[in-house]
Amino acid sequence: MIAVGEALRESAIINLTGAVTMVVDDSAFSADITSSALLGFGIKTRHSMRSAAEAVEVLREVEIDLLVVDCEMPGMDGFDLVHWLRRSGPPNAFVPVIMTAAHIRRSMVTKARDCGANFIITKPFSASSLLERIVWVARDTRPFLEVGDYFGPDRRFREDEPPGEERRSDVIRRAKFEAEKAAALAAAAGQ
Amino acid sequence: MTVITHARKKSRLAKLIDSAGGISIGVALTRARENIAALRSRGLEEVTRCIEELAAVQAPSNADETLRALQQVYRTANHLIDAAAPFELAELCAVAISLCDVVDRLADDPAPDWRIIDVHIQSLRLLNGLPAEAAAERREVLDHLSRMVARKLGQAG
Repeated sequence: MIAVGEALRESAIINLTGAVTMVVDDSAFSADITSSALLGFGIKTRHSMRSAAEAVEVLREVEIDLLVVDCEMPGMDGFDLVHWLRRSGPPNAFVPVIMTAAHIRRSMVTKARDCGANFIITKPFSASSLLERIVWVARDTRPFLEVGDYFGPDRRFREDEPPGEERRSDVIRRAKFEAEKAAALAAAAGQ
Repeated sequence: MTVITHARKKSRLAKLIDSAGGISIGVALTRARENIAALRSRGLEEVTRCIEELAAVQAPSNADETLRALQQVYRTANHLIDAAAPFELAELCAVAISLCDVVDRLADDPAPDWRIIDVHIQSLRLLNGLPAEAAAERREVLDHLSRMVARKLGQAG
């Protein structure tokens, strides 16, 4: 058995065959990539949806075990979907959610932080990092908090740190990168 | 502010993962990598399709068109990253990410300098046409683009 926060051991055994999984991505190819990786882990994607609206229809009725959703989609985006999901009540309000992002707009950083996902990973991500995060969200027993507009896992990690870095590390890293770039641009403009 | 705490029980996913049967992590990762590698040719086709879709976006002539065009460019650049990222096409990903950054910065500009976007698309075309061994040329394309972005967006403020 693998504990939370423990790096994946090659010899450890996992059984994800029965996990009812939904992948939501407006890019059919990107959804295929995600589903192919999941299939390697033993997970056959039960529901592959091209829009958040389609996903909502299914999530109202069908209990799932894992949701993998892309952040950037036309209309209702991935953040809106997760925000809705957390307030949707049974059967899926507490389901583990992994979000994937090719790029996060500056205006979306707060939305990303507050939507209630368990984890956001930025592309490119490797098969091992995806599996590591699936194992982590499966073991994630943080309580859910309702604070103002926020409904989701307690964002203050305690004894069970996620693999690698803190959940919002991608967002934080991007914000730092943006700040450094802005400083470089300002310096270039001043020359 | 009121805080309501919902204690959580073990998820069904957690129960499943420890149930009898299954495969080793090593086997799972090998299979996943093989499955992804099998999609490489489709990925390369998707990259080319995205670049052509970007090239087909017309430079906007008014504010409404600008918003639509920028959204289309942003979405297609996202799809390009989706397609290129699993296959270690690092330079193509870097240019597509830079394009997303640029669109994000230009979103508030009623009359954005479309040439910045055009140069990104030309860079993507160049990179996509270069052979794998042309590392120096790829580096040059990236350096040129990065200097242009610093100059243009630096001027823009």
